[in-house]
Amino acid sequence: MISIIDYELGNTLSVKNAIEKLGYKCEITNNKNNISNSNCIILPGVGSFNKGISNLKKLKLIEILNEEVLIKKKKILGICLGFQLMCENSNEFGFNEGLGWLNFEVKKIDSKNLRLPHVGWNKINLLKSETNFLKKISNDNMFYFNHTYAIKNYKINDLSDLMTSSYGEDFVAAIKVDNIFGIQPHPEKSQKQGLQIIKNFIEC
Amino acid sequence: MVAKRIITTLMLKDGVLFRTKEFSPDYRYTLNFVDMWSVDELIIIDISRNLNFYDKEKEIFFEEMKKISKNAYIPITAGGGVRKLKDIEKLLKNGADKIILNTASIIDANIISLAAKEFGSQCIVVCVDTMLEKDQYYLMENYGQKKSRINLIDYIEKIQENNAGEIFLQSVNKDGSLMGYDFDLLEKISSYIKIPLVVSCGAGNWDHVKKVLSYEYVSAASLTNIFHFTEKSINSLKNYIKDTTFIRE
Repeated sequence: MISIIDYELGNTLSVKNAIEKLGYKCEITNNKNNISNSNCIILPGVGSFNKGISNLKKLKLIEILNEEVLIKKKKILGICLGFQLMCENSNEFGFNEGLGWLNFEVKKIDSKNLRLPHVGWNKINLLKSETNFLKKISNDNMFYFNHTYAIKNYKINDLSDLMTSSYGEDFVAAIKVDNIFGIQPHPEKSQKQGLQIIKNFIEC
Repeated sequence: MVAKRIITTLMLKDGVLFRTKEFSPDYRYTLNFVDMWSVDELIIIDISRNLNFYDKEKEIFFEEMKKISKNAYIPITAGGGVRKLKDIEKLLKNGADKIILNTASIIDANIISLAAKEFGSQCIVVCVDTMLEKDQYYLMENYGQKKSRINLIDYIEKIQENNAGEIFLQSVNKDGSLMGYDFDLLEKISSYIKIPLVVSCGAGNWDHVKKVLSYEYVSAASLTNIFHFTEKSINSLKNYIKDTTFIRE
């Protein structure tokens, strides 16, 4: 069973539809026992960083997630805001601390003359693929992005898997650090290549 | 570079798919012809009027949206009747990825800013309904029936100041006409558009789409009526414009 974390922000049904299409069982939950008994966790996200962190606090999910991810080393996939929340901090609507699992800061995209948010289908650049997370993904694939903030200060040596994208400047599109997986575009909304990444995560 | 998007907009009334003309339901469809693998995004609007989100009748819309989202691995933007922040959460839980504000932001544009603080501005699409009358463009309210007292350009600036993520531009005159998008309107507002713009109403052939997407400030073209006629149309449109427009093939 896969737990899709319900923190009152996020397109949870879209994520559930994608996982069920792949033939796996999942539930949308914020119940401690359900999360504890799951095989892996997805932290979805459509929301602001500030509200995301405060909802995780309000629902007492931070302790539960820390235990699952940091102590039990359970696999977790953060999608879009879910990915950003795993980082140190963000300055979206004021400075806020994140979960701090990943040593990155989330900052506004310097899009130059391009319009923000960065919304739509964009190409990716596959830079490193040492595990199966980005299996069968190539630079021809496009993914659906919808964000204004992103992670830019990555060090490729610290990561086993990395793909980036570009909108005025380069930023992380997907990474894996041990049991922590993060993806900036919405794989649940990125057709076959998106479903492939979710499948890879589950089977990793 | 981000690709220009081809969007199909579905208008539902009491859960049934309709074609519209000048914002009125014109022709009823029993089948949904959208090819979910070729189109880049879906917009689903409930055009049933005066429904509260917690009315029993509204459930029909949620059920239909859930059904559509079940097989759509593309973004879904949903709207129609959103008045409160709780309504947004409800749409996201029922298969939407982004939401559309219209009447609520005309009443008080602050709702955009409040919604953006909660759901992120990338989630908040603001619908701008317009009408041309005697060489003058008006902002329309009340389902496109009433001229607003708010000036169109002032409104476009105001919603962007309030952190709207995208603008969904409609034209009452062009809706259902198949005569082409309102290109004069686009010229008038172009210099005020600072965020992604989705243009709707009036597409009648592939050249209309090709032309609208050639404008730098247009991020997406929405089509309604012409996509309902054949099953393969999105694919054929994409083939027609792919040499001149950067799209997702």
